[in-house]
Amino acid sequence: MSMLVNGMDVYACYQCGKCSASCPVYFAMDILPHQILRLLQIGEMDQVLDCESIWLCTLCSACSTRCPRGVDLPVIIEELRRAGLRRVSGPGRSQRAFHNSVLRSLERHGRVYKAGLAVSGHLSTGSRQRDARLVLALLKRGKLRMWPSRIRGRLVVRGFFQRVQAGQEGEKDV
Amino acid sequence: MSNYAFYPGCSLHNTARESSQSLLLVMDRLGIGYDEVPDWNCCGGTSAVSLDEQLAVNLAVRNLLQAKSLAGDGLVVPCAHCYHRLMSGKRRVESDPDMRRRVEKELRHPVEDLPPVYNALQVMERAEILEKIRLYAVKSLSGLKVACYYGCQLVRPPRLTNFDHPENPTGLDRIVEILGGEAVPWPLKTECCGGNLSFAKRDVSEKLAQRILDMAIECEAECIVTACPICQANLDLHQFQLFHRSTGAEAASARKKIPVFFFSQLIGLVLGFDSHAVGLSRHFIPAWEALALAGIR
Repeated sequence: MSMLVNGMDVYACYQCGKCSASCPVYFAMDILPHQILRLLQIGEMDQVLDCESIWLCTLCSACSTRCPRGVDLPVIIEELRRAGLRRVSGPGRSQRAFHNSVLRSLERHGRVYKAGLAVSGHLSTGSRQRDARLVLALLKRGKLRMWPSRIRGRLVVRGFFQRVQAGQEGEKDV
Repeated sequence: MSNYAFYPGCSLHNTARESSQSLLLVMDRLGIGYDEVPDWNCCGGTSAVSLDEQLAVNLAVRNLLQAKSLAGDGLVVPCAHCYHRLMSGKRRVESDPDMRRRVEKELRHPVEDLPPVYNALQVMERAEILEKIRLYAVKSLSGLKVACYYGCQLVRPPRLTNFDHPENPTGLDRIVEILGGEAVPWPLKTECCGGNLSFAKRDVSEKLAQRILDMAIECEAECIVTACPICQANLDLHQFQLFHRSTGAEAASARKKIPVFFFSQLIGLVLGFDSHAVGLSRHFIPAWEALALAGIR
């Protein structure tokens, strides 16, 4: 029996828990790494897609490097994220909002406009005053460019995004 | 003279300006030639791969094609995240003909003979470069105790990254020793700093950063050295934020602070560049104390 997620067989996992013991963000997770694999094994895909853990994972690969069964959980998590990146609500919404802002910036300029990210409320310091102080401190040190850096090939990059969007709309029609 | 293509990436254009600033000075001094990749695009980081796999591969391969004509000896990428993404894209098109065809269709360009990709640390840790650094050194770190912090994306997963060990790499340690410093043994060499969670989940990211800082201090390090712009930003900035958030009483009993260098800054200092030239004035946590300990001002 095998069940592949992004080329990884989830049945290869024998639940030793080494991934959860290695995970640097385990303390913030609602479902632990080895539990994600178990839920996939018993077909509880919805529960996995709805957890915050897949958005807390930093893709640091501590788990996969130590896994005695060669299960690459970050590769699985990348695939799970792709099913829900554009969702607005639900667990992990602030992480998704961040990724979507990065992608909007990349789509528009071809590079990420970090000053734009900083002022659009993604610093999450919890107060506008602290956000402002941080942006000022970064500007003072020359660590933020005031204006976006645009590449000549940005239309090519935009083309990549248009193909992704066309693909996603195609899926909805089916 | 060797000649590399150089891919800075978005971080080195912003929060990690001092990384490229110091690295390029050092490469010049050591006779390592480079040209910036023309019209490079963002590598997509962990965001592009979270939307669409082919998008991530397209972004990586466009950069590799842009670099191709310049990269006689390969492409040098100082950022660990960019390195990870470019390597991953390169492997994917080289091992999956179906993906290669799709990428060729979107880029309207044949995808072949992509240049080899190296992280800047992989270039600098080579024996012949270390020997050159030793010959060109005009100062020494004089036994400064350094915690070598590699972070995660640089060395993992090992199937992508070609470092000596995924949990106990030694490149930075060897560089620090050549510079006359002492690489302290410590257990969090390759622990994750929290990456971009510092944007979306500050509370989680701060715990990771604090743990790394506390451990470095506990192991008696006088500074931290890293190769990754995200690690440097998270560790340096976190200490600054913590200081500004604490109330009067807490600030008085302030936690010990520890400066976080890029390895290229330490090499630059030992090769004789002044602290301003290697960008130390851009740091949040000042490095003067550590430099005074090393006898460098």
